[in-house]
Amino acid sequence: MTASPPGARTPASAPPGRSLAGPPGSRPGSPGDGVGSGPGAGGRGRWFLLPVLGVAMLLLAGAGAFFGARSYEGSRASQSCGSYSCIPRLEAETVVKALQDQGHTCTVDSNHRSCELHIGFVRFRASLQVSDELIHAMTVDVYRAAPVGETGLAYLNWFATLPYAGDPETSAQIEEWVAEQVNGNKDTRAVIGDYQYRLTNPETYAVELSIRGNF
Amino acid sequence: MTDQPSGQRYSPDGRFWWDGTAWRPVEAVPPARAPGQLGPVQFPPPAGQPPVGPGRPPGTNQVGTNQVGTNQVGTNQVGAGRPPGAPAPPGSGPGLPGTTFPPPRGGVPGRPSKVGFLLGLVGTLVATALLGGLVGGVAGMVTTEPPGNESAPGFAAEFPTGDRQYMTGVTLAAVVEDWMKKSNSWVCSDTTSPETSGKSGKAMECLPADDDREMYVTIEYDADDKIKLVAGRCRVGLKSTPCTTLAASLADVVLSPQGDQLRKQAEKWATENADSERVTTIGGIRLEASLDPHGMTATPGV
Repeated sequence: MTASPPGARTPASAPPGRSLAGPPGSRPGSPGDGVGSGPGAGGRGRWFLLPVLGVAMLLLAGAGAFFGARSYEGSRASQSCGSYSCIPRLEAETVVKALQDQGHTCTVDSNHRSCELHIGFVRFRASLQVSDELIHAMTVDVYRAAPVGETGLAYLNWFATLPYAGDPETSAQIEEWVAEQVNGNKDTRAVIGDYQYRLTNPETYAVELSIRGNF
Repeated sequence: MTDQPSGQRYSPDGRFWWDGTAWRPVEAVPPARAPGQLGPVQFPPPAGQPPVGPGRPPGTNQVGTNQVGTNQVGTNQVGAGRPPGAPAPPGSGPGLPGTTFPPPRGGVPGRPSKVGFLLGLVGTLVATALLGGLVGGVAGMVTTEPPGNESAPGFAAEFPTGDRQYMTGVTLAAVVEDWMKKSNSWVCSDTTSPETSGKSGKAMECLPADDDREMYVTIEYDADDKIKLVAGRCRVGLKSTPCTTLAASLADVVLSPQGDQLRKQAEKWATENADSERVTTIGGIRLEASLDPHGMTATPGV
């Protein structure tokens, strides 16, 4: 009977001239070979710990990532849509339908929606870029409103606050920013949360606001 | 020091010798070699053979001349070198033949195992952390709705709506029938074109009866009570009475539904600004004077 500790070379595989024998009375698991019982129980016992620790770490990391992801998703003002960053949950068709209900005339193609309304010589026009039914970019202009009054501001603000429709505080800040830029007749850019805002005055009596998700 | 006569029997591990009545420990003597001896230190021989040389401290490894038979089953039976009836020598271990070279306990043999355990532990923790993080992260993102609403937000009262395309209270009858035809005997005709009917609705143009094209009025509308625009054009000349009268009467007509005060205010403003490019909004109606073409235009105010 040959007794070799686990992992030790068996006599058959040992190189010639080398023979390692276990100590008298040794068995697999005796002290000193890392496995065993009694004083060496820590050897085999700690190997048994690996799956336990692995499962614990799996659960811990999974729970942490789960709640971290929920927190991250819950704090975002945008969501992925194809290769773009879109206004979360609000489908372009919903916006188009809302504008049509307000009397705006809209046209639809595959990834573009356009709505406009003429009041006298003033044109209100919105162009929506769509991906996965969601809006990833908008261009809104008020043309020939001299000057842009409350109606024009209300129009610009409605689109400017679409990404933050559920956040009254941020929406109020955006409306304040839009009013400042329009009244100041400025061409400005701003990054607000997950979106880039750009407000320009391409003509004397025209204001154009473009909003694009950061991606 | 106990005598260890040669020819005595030794225990399998070579640490004891049989004096005939009892096992006695072999005297611990440092390995010594005879002068000039270059060979390796040898283990005690198998049972029944005296150790070669002056002796060997326990645990001294055998290099180069290890005797294969010492570890083979059946070649090194327990007690094989024990005299009949002699008790088993201490340290020989029951039932484990050929164990003549006990390795040191603890220390070095345990170290590789600890390293392996630590490597395994780190590997396990890293792998499970990555796996758990991936699965948990994906699950968290998939099951969480981002903030926002599926419905469109409400509209402010000032938001431009379709019904604001029309001038309040102004009707086709008041403009065409009463003002153009009855009061001035102008002739009106439908000028709706296929190009404008879908986009701008209907259109009508009124001219003086003599049709000299010096003055004309255009009306854009969707229905009899949905008038979008009334525009008067005059080519008679700047500061001419006909052009000023046309501008003033146009403002009077579109503001009439809102009362005398606003009507008179609009008429007064149009008279004063007929030869300018000024714009005003009175009663929700925008009045815009222009020089080229010379005239006055009324549209809903925004």
